[in-house]
Amino acid sequence: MHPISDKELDKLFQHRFTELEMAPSPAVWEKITASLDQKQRKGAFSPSFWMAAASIVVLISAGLLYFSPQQVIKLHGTSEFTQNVDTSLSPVEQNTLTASITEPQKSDQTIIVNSPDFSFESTSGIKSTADPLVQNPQLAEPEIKLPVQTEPLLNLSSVVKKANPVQTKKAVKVPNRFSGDQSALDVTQPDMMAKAVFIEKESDIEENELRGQRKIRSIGSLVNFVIAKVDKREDKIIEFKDSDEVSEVSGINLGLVKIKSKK
Amino acid sequence: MVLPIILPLKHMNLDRTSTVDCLLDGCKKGDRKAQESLYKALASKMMAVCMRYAKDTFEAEDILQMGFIKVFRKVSEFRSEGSFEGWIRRIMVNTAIETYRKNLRSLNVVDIDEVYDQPQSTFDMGKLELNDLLKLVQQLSNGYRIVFNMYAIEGYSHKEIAKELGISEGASKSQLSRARAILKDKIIKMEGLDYASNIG
Repeated sequence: MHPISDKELDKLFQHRFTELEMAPSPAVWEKITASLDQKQRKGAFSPSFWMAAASIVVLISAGLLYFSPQQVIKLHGTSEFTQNVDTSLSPVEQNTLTASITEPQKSDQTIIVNSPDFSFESTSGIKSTADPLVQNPQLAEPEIKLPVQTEPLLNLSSVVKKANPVQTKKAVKVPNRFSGDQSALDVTQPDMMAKAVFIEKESDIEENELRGQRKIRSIGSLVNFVIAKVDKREDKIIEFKDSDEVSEVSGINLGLVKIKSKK
Repeated sequence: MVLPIILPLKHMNLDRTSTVDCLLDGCKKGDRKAQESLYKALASKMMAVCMRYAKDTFEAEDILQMGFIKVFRKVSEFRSEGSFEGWIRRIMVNTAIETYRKNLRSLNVVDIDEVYDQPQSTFDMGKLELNDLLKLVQQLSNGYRIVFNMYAIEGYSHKEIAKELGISEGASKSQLSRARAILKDKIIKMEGLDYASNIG
C-alpha cells in the first residue's frame, strides 16, 4: 500500500490494457461484409452516372421550355422556303423539259415497235407464199423488232425513275445558288405559298433521310436524336460528336451563349 | 502526426504478428478469406481498444465495425513502415475519436462527473481485476475518457489531443487531471471494499 502518482496510474492502465482481449459478437463481421459488398455494388452505378443522367434530363426539359416560342420563328422559316420556290421552279421546268425531250424519243421508239408489228402480221401471211427474196428482209425485221420492243419500255421506266431524284436534289442545290434573289419574291401570292408547302415537304423528307443516315451508336447520338426532335434550330441546345470511343459535347446553344467545336 | 506506439513489444504475440503480415497481400487484393482471417486474428484485441473508448459494448462494436471497414478499404495505402497491426490499431483509435466528435456534435454531452480532491490515497495495484479497470474507464464521462485514453494509453501529447478534439491544451490538461482523480478515487473505493470483505 502506497500513495499513487499520476504516472503510476497511467502505467497501471497502460500495462494492464495490453493484455485485454474481448470477443465481439459474430454479427459485427456480418455487418462488415455486408457493408463491403454494398459498396462494390454501388460502384456499378456511380454517382457520376446519375449526375450525367440528371443533367441530360435538365437539358432536355430546358430545351422544351426554351423552344416553345420557337414556332414563331418557324413561321419566319416558311418565308425562306417561299424564297426557295422561285429558284426551285426552274429545275422543275428543266425536268419537264427533259421529260418532253425524252418523250419524242419514246414516241419514235414506239413507232418503230408498231410498224414492224404490222409488218410481222403481214410477213406471216407472206411467209406461206415462200418468196425467199421477200422473206429475208422481212425475217431480219422481226429480229430487230424484239430487242427494240423491250428497250423502249425499259427506257421509259428509267426516265421516270431518274426524273424524281433529280427533282428533289435540284430543289436543294439550287436555292443556295440563288439565295441572293430574295427581293424578287412575292410571298403573298397564294400560288407561292402553296408551292412553299410542297417544297417544305420535300425538304422534310430529305432531313429524315439525313437522320436515317446518322445511326444511333452511342448515348451521345441518342441524345442528338432526341434533341433534334425537340430543337429545330441548326445549332442544337446540346450536340454530341462521336469520337472513337467516347461521345463528347461538340456544341452548346443556349440562345445567347453558343459554343461549337470545329468539326 | 507521429503516434508513438506504447504497446510493449514483449507482449506482442509473435505468431499472430507473422500471420497478420502474411494476410496483408490477400487483403490488398480484396480477398474475402484473407480479410476474414485478419479479422479473426485481430478482432478481440481491437475490440478491447474500442471498449476503452466506448461507454458500452454496443458502441465499441460500432467502432470496431467502422474501423475494420476502413482497414479493408484503405489497406492499399498501407506502407510497410510500421507494423500492420499497429496501423490497424491506429485506425481503430482514429475511428473512436471520430465517433466521439460526432457524438459531441449531436448530443452535446455534458460532463456530470464530480471531482473530489483526493487526500493521499494508497492502493495495491496487483489485486485489481482487468475488467474492473475497463469498467472504471468506461464509467468516465465521454470527455474525460477520451483524453485519458489518448494521453495515458496511446501516448498523445496535450497539443495533439487539443488539435484532434478541437479543444485548448489547458482543457485537455484539466480533463486529464480530473479523469485521473476520478479513477484514483474509484480504485481506492474498490480497494476499500476488497479490504472490507477480507476483514469480514
